[in-house]
Amino acid sequence: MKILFVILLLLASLVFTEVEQGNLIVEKDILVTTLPHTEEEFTILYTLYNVGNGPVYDVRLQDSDNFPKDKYSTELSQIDTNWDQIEAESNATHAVILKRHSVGSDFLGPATVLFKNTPNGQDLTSTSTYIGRLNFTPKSPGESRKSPNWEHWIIFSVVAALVLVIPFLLFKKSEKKKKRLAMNLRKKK
Amino acid sequence: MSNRNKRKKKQREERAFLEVEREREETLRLRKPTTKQRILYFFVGLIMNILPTYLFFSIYEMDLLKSLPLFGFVSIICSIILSMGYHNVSFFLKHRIIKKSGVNFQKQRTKKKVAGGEREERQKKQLESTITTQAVSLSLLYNSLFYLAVVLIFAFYITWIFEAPTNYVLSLACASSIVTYISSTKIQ
Repeated sequence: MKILFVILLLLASLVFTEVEQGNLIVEKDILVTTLPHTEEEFTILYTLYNVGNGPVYDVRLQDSDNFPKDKYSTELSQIDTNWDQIEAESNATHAVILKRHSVGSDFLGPATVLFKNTPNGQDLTSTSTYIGRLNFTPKSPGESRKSPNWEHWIIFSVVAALVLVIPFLLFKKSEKKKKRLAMNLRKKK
Repeated sequence: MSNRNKRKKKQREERAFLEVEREREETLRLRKPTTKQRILYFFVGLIMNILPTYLFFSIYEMDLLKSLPLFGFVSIICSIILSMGYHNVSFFLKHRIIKKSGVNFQKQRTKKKVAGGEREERQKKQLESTITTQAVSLSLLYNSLFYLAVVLIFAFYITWIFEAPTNYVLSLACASSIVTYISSTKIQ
């Protein structure tokens, strides 16, 4: 009876011991206000949330398959990246700036993230959210004129006003002088 | 009518005809701008053309280095056309201001020397140059505003459907032509 009780206690301790394990949720998002056109830069943001109660190790983000090199080029950073460790209840982000060179439609699927719960453990896989189908069309000539471009208009207005104020001041100055001279001539008559 | 009266009438008609001819020659002489005026009009026209060029470079995203020859050539041609418009308006305004001032600027063609005449002539010359400055500055102000307004209307509402370089050439050329044409109708 006593031995049975001890065995039961041991089994219970094994079941109810908390094991520290990490778990990644990955979000893939496109940061644009309007749909991107060809030869126009757009940003993809990957956010990795470790929602587990333990750190994750050797995290590798892989998404090159969704952006083949013959269609896309990257500006400033690479698509695939890795982290040594992401602590529990923390997150990591990775941003990539891309440009598509040809007209077409692409389905931007989920990215794959490989990670380990222990430094030498097995590889685990997590899949990100996906963006979906994007149509890349060339920028139409009227597109840029419709956008606000406030800073360019402000610069244009300020410089135009400065240029036009000079003849206005000259006109005012010469008008006063003219009135004075005309009055002098009329008095003499 | 006696012969004497006929001769007098003929002389009067000849004098009136010569007076009209002299006035016409004087008007034609004044109608041509001086070298200083030409340089001023061209310089101001060039500045007025650089402003819309900035808009095309920034909003329509024309490459500055690649389009520099086009910008330079079109700006120079349109500045020359615009300078003609500036002079037309300043010529028209000058005569209008002279009429309003009520001062007779015609030189006295008498052989007698009038007392204080030289001083009066100097003052008249001063007044004429002030009126010229006034007319030129008003012409620059009015024509520049008009030109900028027409360029913006063309570039963003009429010729925007074309490619940016074509849009640039059309909007600047049409605007400068319209402004100069309307200024020439004022003189006529």
